[in-house]
Amino acid sequence: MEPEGVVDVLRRLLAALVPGGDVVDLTMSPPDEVVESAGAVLGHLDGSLFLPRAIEAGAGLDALADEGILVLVREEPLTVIVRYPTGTDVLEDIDRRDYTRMPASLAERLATIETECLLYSNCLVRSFEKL
Amino acid sequence: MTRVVDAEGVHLAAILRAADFSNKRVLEVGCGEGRLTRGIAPLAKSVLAFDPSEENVTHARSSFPGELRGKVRFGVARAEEIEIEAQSVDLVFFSWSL
Repeated sequence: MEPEGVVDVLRRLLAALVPGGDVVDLTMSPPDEVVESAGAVLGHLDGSLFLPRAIEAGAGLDALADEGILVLVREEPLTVIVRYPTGTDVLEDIDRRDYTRMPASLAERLATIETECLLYSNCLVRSFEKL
Repeated sequence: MTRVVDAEGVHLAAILRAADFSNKRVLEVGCGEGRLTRGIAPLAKSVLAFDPSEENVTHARSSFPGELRGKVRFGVARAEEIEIEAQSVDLVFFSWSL
Protein backbone atom coordinates (compact mmCIF):
# COMPACT_ATOMS: atom_id res chain seq x y z
CA MET A 1 0.00 0.00 0.00
CA GLU A 2 1.24 3.50 -0.80
CA PRO A 3 1.95 5.56 2.34
CA GLU A 4 -0.55 8.28 1.45
CA GLY A 5 -3.33 5.68 1.45
CA VAL A 6 -2.51 4.21 4.83
CA VAL A 7 -4.39 6.72 6.98
CA ASP A 8 -7.56 6.37 4.90
CA VAL A 9 -7.44 2.58 5.13
CA LEU A 10 -6.77 2.75 8.86
CA ARG A 11 -9.76 5.02 9.40
CA ARG A 12 -12.01 2.55 7.60
CA LEU A 13 -10.66 -0.51 9.43
CA LEU A 14 -10.77 1.20 12.80
CA ALA A 15 -14.46 1.93 12.24
CA ALA A 16 -14.87 -1.80 12.79
CA LEU A 17 -13.31 -1.47 16.23
CA VAL A 18 -15.40 -0.78 19.32
CA PRO A 19 -14.55 2.31 21.41
CA GLY A 20 -11.94 1.27 23.95
CA GLY A 21 -10.77 -1.51 21.63
CA ASP A 22 -7.13 -2.34 21.02
CA VAL A 23 -4.88 -1.96 18.00
CA VAL A 24 -1.68 -4.04 17.84
CA ASP A 25 0.83 -3.30 15.10
CA LEU A 26 3.78 -5.58 14.32
CA THR A 27 6.27 -4.17 11.86
CA MET A 28 9.89 -4.40 10.78
CA SER A 29 12.23 -1.70 12.01
CA PRO A 30 15.82 -0.54 11.36
CA PRO A 31 18.66 -1.42 11.29
CA ASP A 32 18.98 -3.74 8.29
CA GLU A 33 18.58 -7.46 8.79
CA VAL A 34 21.77 -9.43 9.48
CA VAL A 35 22.66 -12.86 8.09
CA GLU A 36 24.90 -15.16 10.12
CA SER A 37 26.28 -18.64 9.75
CA ALA A 38 28.35 -20.63 12.25
CA GLY A 39 28.44 -17.60 14.54
CA ALA A 40 29.96 -15.29 11.92
CA VAL A 41 28.20 -12.32 10.32
CA LEU A 42 28.00 -12.80 6.56
CA GLY A 43 26.45 -9.45 5.78
CA HIS A 44 23.36 -7.24 5.89
CA LEU A 45 20.33 -7.18 3.64
CA ASP A 46 19.59 -3.89 1.91
CA GLY A 47 16.40 -2.53 3.41
CA SER A 48 16.79 0.95 1.93
CA LEU A 49 13.60 0.53 -0.10
CA PHE A 50 11.59 -1.46 2.43
CA LEU A 51 12.31 0.12 5.80
CA PRO A 52 11.23 3.68 4.87
CA ARG A 53 7.92 2.23 3.67
CA ALA A 54 7.49 0.39 6.98
CA ILE A 55 8.25 3.54 8.93
CA GLU A 56 5.83 5.63 6.86
CA ALA A 57 3.13 3.01 7.29
CA GLY A 58 3.60 3.07 11.03
CA ALA A 59 3.32 6.83 10.88
CA GLY A 60 -0.31 6.34 9.84
CA LEU A 61 -1.09 5.12 13.33
CA ASP A 62 0.85 8.05 14.77
CA ALA A 63 -1.25 10.41 12.68
CA LEU A 64 -4.44 8.96 14.15
CA ALA A 65 -2.94 9.28 17.63
CA ASP A 66 -2.19 12.93 16.89
CA GLU A 67 -5.87 13.37 15.93
CA GLY A 68 -6.96 11.90 19.26
CA ILE A 69 -8.51 8.79 17.71
CA LEU A 70 -5.90 6.44 19.20
CA VAL A 71 -3.60 6.61 22.20
CA LEU A 72 -0.28 4.75 22.31
CA VAL A 73 -0.27 2.28 25.19
CA ARG A 74 2.93 0.31 24.75
CA GLU A 75 5.83 -0.27 22.39
CA GLU A 76 8.46 -2.99 22.45
CA PRO A 77 11.40 -3.53 20.10
CA LEU A 78 12.43 -7.13 19.52
CA THR A 79 14.71 -9.27 17.39
CA VAL A 80 13.40 -12.35 15.66
CA ILE A 81 15.46 -15.16 14.16
CA VAL A 82 14.62 -17.01 10.96
CA ARG A 83 16.54 -20.25 10.42
CA TYR A 84 17.40 -21.64 6.98
CA PRO A 85 19.02 -25.00 6.21
CA THR A 86 21.46 -23.46 3.69
CA GLY A 87 22.50 -20.16 2.16
CA THR A 88 20.57 -21.00 -1.00
CA ASP A 89 17.39 -21.14 1.07
CA VAL A 90 18.06 -17.59 2.29
CA LEU A 91 18.52 -16.41 -1.29
CA GLU A 92 15.27 -18.04 -2.42
CA ASP A 93 13.31 -16.53 0.48
CA ILE A 94 14.60 -13.00 0.05
CA ASP A 95 13.99 -13.23 -3.69
CA ARG A 96 10.26 -13.54 -2.91
CA ARG A 97 10.19 -10.17 -1.14
CA ASP A 98 9.14 -7.06 -3.02
CA TYR A 99 11.26 -4.36 -1.45
CA THR A 100 14.27 -6.00 0.23
CA ARG A 101 17.44 -6.26 -1.84
CA MET A 102 20.17 -8.87 -1.56
CA PRO A 103 23.62 -7.27 -1.95
CA ALA A 104 25.67 -9.07 -4.60
CA SER A 105 28.59 -9.72 -2.25
CA LEU A 106 26.31 -11.35 0.32
CA ALA A 107 24.56 -13.41 -2.36
CA GLU A 108 27.92 -14.79 -3.51
CA ARG A 109 28.81 -15.84 0.02
CA LEU A 110 25.42 -17.39 0.71
CA ALA A 111 25.51 -19.43 -2.49
CA THR A 112 28.49 -21.34 -1.12
CA ILE A 113 27.11 -22.08 2.35
CA GLU A 114 25.60 -25.51 2.83
CA THR A 115 25.04 -25.27 6.58
CA GLU A 116 22.42 -23.45 8.65
CA CYS A 117 22.06 -19.70 8.21
CA LEU A 118 20.30 -17.35 10.62
CA LEU A 119 18.54 -14.13 9.66
CA TYR A 120 18.10 -11.58 12.45
CA SER A 121 15.17 -9.22 11.86
CA ASN A 122 14.40 -6.20 13.99
CA CYS A 123 10.75 -5.62 14.74
CA LEU A 124 8.58 -3.23 16.69
CA VAL A 125 5.32 -4.14 18.40
CA ARG A 126 3.09 -1.23 19.36
CA SER A 127 -0.33 -1.20 20.92
CA PHE A 128 -2.91 1.56 20.92
CA GLU A 129 -6.34 2.07 22.45
CA LYS A 130 -9.19 3.51 20.40
CA LEU A 131 -10.71 6.44 22.24
CA MET B 1 12.72 -24.11 0.62
CA THR B 2 12.41 -24.84 4.32
CA ARG B 3 12.70 -22.15 6.91
CA VAL B 4 11.79 -21.87 10.56
CA VAL B 5 10.49 -18.48 11.63
CA ASP B 6 10.84 -17.47 15.25
CA ALA B 7 11.23 -20.89 16.85
CA GLU B 8 11.73 -19.05 20.14
CA GLY B 9 8.22 -17.57 19.98
CA VAL B 10 9.45 -13.99 20.41
CA HIS B 11 6.80 -12.52 18.11
CA LEU B 12 3.86 -14.19 19.79
CA ALA B 13 5.07 -13.44 23.29
CA ALA B 14 5.49 -9.75 22.45
CA ILE B 15 2.06 -9.55 20.82
CA LEU B 16 0.42 -11.15 23.82
CA ARG B 17 2.20 -8.66 26.08
CA ALA B 18 1.00 -5.80 23.89
CA ALA B 19 -2.70 -6.46 24.47
CA ASP B 20 -5.09 -8.85 26.14
CA PHE B 21 -6.56 -11.13 23.47
CA SER B 22 -8.69 -13.08 25.95
CA ASN B 23 -12.24 -13.59 24.73
CA LYS B 24 -11.84 -10.80 22.14
CA ARG B 25 -13.27 -10.64 18.63
CA VAL B 26 -10.06 -10.14 16.67
CA LEU B 27 -9.52 -8.79 13.15
CA GLU B 28 -6.08 -9.86 11.90
CA VAL B 29 -4.79 -7.97 8.86
CA GLY B 30 -1.90 -9.74 7.14
CA CYS B 31 -2.15 -13.22 8.62
CA GLY B 32 0.31 -14.82 6.18
CA GLU B 33 0.28 -18.59 6.61
CA GLY B 34 -1.44 -18.25 9.98
CA ARG B 35 1.65 -18.61 12.16
CA LEU B 36 0.54 -15.98 14.67
CA THR B 37 -3.15 -16.74 14.17
CA ARG B 38 -2.48 -20.16 15.70
CA GLY B 39 -1.14 -18.44 18.82
CA ILE B 40 -3.97 -15.95 19.12
CA ALA B 41 -6.92 -18.22 18.40
CA PRO B 42 -6.83 -20.28 21.62
CA LEU B 43 -7.30 -17.08 23.63
CA ALA B 44 -9.64 -15.12 21.39
CA LYS B 45 -13.41 -15.43 21.15
CA SER B 46 -13.10 -15.31 17.36
CA VAL B 47 -10.54 -14.36 14.72
CA LEU B 48 -11.25 -12.95 11.27
CA ALA B 49 -7.92 -13.23 9.46
CA PHE B 50 -7.07 -11.76 6.05
CA ASP B 51 -4.05 -11.94 3.79
CA PRO B 52 -3.61 -10.72 0.20
CA SER B 53 -1.99 -14.00 -0.86
CA GLU B 54 -4.39 -16.79 -1.80
CA GLU B 55 -1.50 -19.24 -1.45
CA ASN B 56 -0.90 -18.09 2.12
CA VAL B 57 -4.57 -18.32 3.05
CA THR B 58 -4.90 -21.79 1.53
CA HIS B 59 -1.93 -22.93 3.59
CA ALA B 60 -3.31 -21.28 6.72
CA ARG B 61 -6.69 -22.97 6.31
CA SER B 62 -5.29 -26.41 5.59
CA SER B 63 -2.74 -26.38 8.41
CA PHE B 64 -4.93 -24.85 11.10
CA PRO B 65 -5.58 -27.08 14.13
CA GLY B 66 -8.99 -28.71 13.81
CA GLU B 67 -10.09 -27.88 17.34
CA LEU B 68 -9.68 -24.14 16.64
CA ARG B 69 -11.22 -23.98 13.18
CA GLY B 70 -14.61 -23.04 14.55
CA LYS B 71 -13.18 -19.82 15.96
CA VAL B 72 -11.32 -18.63 12.88
CA ARG B 73 -12.39 -17.46 9.44
CA PHE B 74 -9.74 -16.76 6.80
CA GLY B 75 -10.17 -14.50 3.79
CA VAL B 76 -8.12 -13.31 0.85
CA ALA B 77 -7.97 -9.51 0.79
CA ARG B 78 -5.58 -6.62 0.96
CA ALA B 79 -6.07 -4.21 3.88
CA GLU B 80 -7.82 -1.71 1.62
CA GLU B 81 -10.26 -4.35 0.37
CA ILE B 82 -11.52 -5.61 3.73
CA GLU B 83 -15.21 -4.95 4.34
CA ILE B 84 -16.37 -5.39 7.91
CA GLU B 85 -19.30 -4.18 9.96
CA ALA B 86 -18.83 -1.10 12.16
CA GLN B 87 -17.90 -1.76 15.80
CA SER B 88 -17.92 -5.52 15.30
CA VAL B 89 -14.43 -6.33 16.64
CA ASP B 90 -12.64 -5.71 19.94
CA LEU B 91 -9.05 -5.83 18.67
CA VAL B 92 -7.35 -5.14 15.33
CA PHE B 93 -3.97 -6.78 14.77
CA PHE B 94 -1.83 -5.52 11.90
CA SER B 95 0.99 -7.89 11.03
CA TRP B 96 3.44 -6.25 8.55
CA SER B 97 0.38 -5.27 6.61
CA LEU B 98 0.18 -1.49 6.41
